[in-house]
Amino acid sequence: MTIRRLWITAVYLIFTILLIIPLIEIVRGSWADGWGGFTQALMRPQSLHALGMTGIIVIVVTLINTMFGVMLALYLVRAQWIGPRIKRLLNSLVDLPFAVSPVIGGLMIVLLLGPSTVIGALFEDAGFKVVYALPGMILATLFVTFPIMVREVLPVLQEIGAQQEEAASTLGAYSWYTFWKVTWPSIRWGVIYGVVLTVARSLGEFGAVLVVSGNIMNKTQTATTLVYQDVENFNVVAANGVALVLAVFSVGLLLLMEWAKKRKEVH
Amino acid sequence: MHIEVRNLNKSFGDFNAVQNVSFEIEKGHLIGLLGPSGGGKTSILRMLAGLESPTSGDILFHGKRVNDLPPQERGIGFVFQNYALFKHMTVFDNIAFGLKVKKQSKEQIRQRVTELVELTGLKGFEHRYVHQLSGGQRQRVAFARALAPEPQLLLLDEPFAAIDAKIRTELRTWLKEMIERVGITSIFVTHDQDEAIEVADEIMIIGKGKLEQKGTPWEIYKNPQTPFVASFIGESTVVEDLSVLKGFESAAADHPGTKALIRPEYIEIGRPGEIKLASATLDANVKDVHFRGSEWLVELLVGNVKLITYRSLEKEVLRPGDFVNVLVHRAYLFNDNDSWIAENSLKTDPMPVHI
Ligand SMILES: Nc1ncnc2c1ncn2[C@@H]1O[C@H](COP(=O)(O)OP(=O)(O)OP(=O)(O)O)[C@@H](O)[C@H]1O
Ligand SMILES: [Mg+2]
Repeated sequence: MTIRRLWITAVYLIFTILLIIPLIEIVRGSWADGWGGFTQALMRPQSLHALGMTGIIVIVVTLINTMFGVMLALYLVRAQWIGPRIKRLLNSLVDLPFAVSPVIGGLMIVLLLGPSTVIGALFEDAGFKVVYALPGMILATLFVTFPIMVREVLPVLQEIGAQQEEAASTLGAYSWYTFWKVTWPSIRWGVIYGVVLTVARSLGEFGAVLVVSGNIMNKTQTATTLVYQDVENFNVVAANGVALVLAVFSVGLLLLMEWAKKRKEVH
Repeated sequence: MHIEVRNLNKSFGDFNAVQNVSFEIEKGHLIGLLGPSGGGKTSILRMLAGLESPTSGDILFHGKRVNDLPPQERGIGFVFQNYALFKHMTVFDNIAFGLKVKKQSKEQIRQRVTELVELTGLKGFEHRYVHQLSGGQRQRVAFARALAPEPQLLLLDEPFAAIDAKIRTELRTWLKEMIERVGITSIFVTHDQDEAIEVADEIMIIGKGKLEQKGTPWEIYKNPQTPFVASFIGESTVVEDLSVLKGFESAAADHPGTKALIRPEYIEIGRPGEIKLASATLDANVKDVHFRGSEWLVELLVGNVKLITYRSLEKEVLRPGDFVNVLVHRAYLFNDNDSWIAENSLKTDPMPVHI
């Protein structure tokens, strides 16, 4: 009994030290100069721009990842025209971004598509900047978050099996109709859970974006890289202000995730 | 729908799951696909439905080749082994699915579903979800769903496998009536020979990917064309050494290496003197008797050959160790090249019947 109580206390302690105290510190820090200081920090042009960039990246990345993630999961589980060996290879490749440090991921993009490379130069000639611009940042975040959706949806698809879909096909339904009427209701909560995780992950992505963006103020700066710069410049109030906005979103997402998780278990 | 299958083959990698299967099915017939597990029954059904494409061979519906037709276009109803009902839909929506796909009007759909709900005895359950139904009810929903779009061929993969024995007999009688009433060509898979014999107009025996025999249950029982079929249908014991069986010695002498397959109903037993053809009887000891509900199962030892037979409850009860006379009326004889049914030569007919 006492050991168990000790464990519980330890868990609470770690939880408090790692999560609650930093959060309180962020709130206190951002209010150090009162409401005025907080709004001032957020109303700086670079703050608005950085939050806007983050917003765009989150939306675009989540949309693309949801579509491609669901599609890839469907192909990996159902497609008969992909051989089992290629499936296995693809399946392990999906996890690559989880295994590789985001900074390395960003670096790979720079090395592949940077202005001094052949492909990068080609794009640049066409008037399309990839690295040190929004497309590169989106690409980097895509890379980092790519496994999330596939890993959420794939096991669900495996578990429900192909029989309901086969039944639909013998009843005359083609793939699009079958997907929306039969497959989607089963994977829906998995997808929602994946969306929440993707949003959270792309909201907070730092390393890959930092490398790819070059962190140019008012141009390629995101909320996280702005916090980093503010800290570097000892602008603690501003750093805390922007961090608080991110934290509020994260807590909101966390609650949403809990709700999605419950629904996922029910259905 | 008239169905014809020619030289159907299916291999998974280098494993041949279905080999050179050919058959024809008359319109309106109910066919039982019977065979041991892993024989290729499901594979055949799936190819008929278009869920799997044959490695080679042709499938013809009404004389037209349908190999390249997707399942959506084949006009087939498929009842899956575990029903594969849409679990997020109500009974009504499950049955209505095929009609909605066909873009029928709301009123038409409602009418057809109501009709099927009544036909399958599911009235009052329309708004339940699948997990709120019993196994038998699910089976009916699967059946109604497959029938709703008025298919021309109904395929049922072990429709009763997940249902307990008592409801199973009820359901299969119900299913046979239902199929007769709708008049639809149907093929159903089963492991259970009683089920096949009771329900099917014709049985196809599938073993190791091959079609062993096709015929009415009675034909198959009476004239099994391969030892596999003979041992699969009904109960039987195989006697390796024919010389112990009185009346079959000549067959043993003419065809060395011949074995006999003997069904319980081929054997007559009696106390010494009870059997009239005393010269044709063998001496045996009762090894064991088991009560089988409506009769006794008697295990006999003739020398060291074991035979089994049934004995009416009306007759005097035998005990282990009792001495009895045994008359083997006929035997299914087979060797590597041939198989035939032989009557006991010591009875009236001296000639064995070759088939
Ligand atoms: N997708 C597949 N890949 C590889 N082998 C398969 C596949 N489907 C079936 N088989 C093999 O083909 C053989 C026939 O399978 P099938 O499912 O047709 O048997 P069945 O007669 O329906 O058996 P059961 O009565 O157990 O359902 C089996 O040996 C099985 O292992
Ligand atoms: Mg099967």
